[in-house]
Amino acid sequence: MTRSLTVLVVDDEELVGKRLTHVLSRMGCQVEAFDEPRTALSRIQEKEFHLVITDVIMGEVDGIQVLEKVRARWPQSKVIMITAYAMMSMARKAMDLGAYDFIAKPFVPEEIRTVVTRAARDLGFDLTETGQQSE
Amino acid sequence: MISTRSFTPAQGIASGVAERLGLSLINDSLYQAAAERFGVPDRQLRRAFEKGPSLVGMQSARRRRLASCVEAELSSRFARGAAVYEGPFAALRLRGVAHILKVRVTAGLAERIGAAQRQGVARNAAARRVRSSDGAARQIAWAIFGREDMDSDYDLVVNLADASEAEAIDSIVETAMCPAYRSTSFSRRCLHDLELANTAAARLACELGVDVEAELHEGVLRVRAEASERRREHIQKKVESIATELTDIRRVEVRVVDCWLRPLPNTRREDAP
Repeated sequence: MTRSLTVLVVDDEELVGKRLTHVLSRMGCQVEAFDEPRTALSRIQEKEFHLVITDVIMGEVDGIQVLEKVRARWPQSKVIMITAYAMMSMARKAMDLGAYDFIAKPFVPEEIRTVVTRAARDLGFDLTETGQQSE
Repeated sequence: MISTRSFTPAQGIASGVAERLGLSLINDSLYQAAAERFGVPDRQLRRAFEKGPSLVGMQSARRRRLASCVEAELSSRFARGAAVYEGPFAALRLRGVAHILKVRVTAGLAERIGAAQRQGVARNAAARRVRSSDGAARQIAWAIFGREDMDSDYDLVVNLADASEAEAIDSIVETAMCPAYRSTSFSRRCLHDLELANTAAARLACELGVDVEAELHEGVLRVRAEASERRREHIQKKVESIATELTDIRRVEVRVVDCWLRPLPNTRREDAP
């Protein structure tokens, strides 16, 4: 039996969510994208996602809060942080709190594909860009 | 990256850490590798980092040019894979790469003076030797990096007055294993950019003999060269030529500053505090 890698994307820039959804869908992932971090937190509360990709700096709820929420609620889920304001201290803090990876914007689709493929493999999935996947 | 203050009895710490982590140790071999890569004498490279300024000594500009070769080789070695580096000024080198842990190993003044005394000098002379060594290190740091090599710039400072060598190794290994020092896509990109910028700077320094600062960000190589205005075109062409040989450089921006007309933005004086 095969199942899809479920991914929640949260970024207050709607365009980033759309682009990530496009790239991840082509990899065969089931993606839910949110540009409202509070709505994303509610969704995380009710459903376990294999992977969460979150922006770091987003208005009233930041990516660190998303990371902490996911780590507390679903410890097996992996969290990838993305930010346009990457700094060494921020990356170290995110990794210390249990992030899977930390990516600086702007990034090319290949960079996301590589990290997601690695995370999927660690979760027991085998992803390809064409959308075939096996567990 | 581990820096040990002079006259600190910590001979086996870096090698102990490398052994425990299963990593290769980079130390003096770095000078030789940089010398071979950039065609400069390794003795001069070593002097740039170890010999304090004097009236008849190495000029700051030359010191920085030589240092750029060592920095380029150091960043290339780390870009090839994890390693333990043992050498001076760790906090000031490969800056901004989140997964590189910077450690300073030091000892109390009494222990350091004791270590100097064991070289066969009286206590007063030993104390002078320690002070002089600290002063020289401070001046070298200012000359090469434009700032002081301070404890507060290190991620971890191990004082051998409070810990044995074995405990120091434990502490460093434990810190290095923390998730905060895991490599990320961001930190690897920073290291990659640093390697290319350092390589470009070293080549320009060696091939044109100019004092250069270079940084790479999002594919744009920005070079600031100190030279006379009449060399601007030549430097621009050289930077463009080097950029074509390096991957991932989309564009270059060159700024030539006539050192006779304008002061340096970073105060880099041999006699700075």
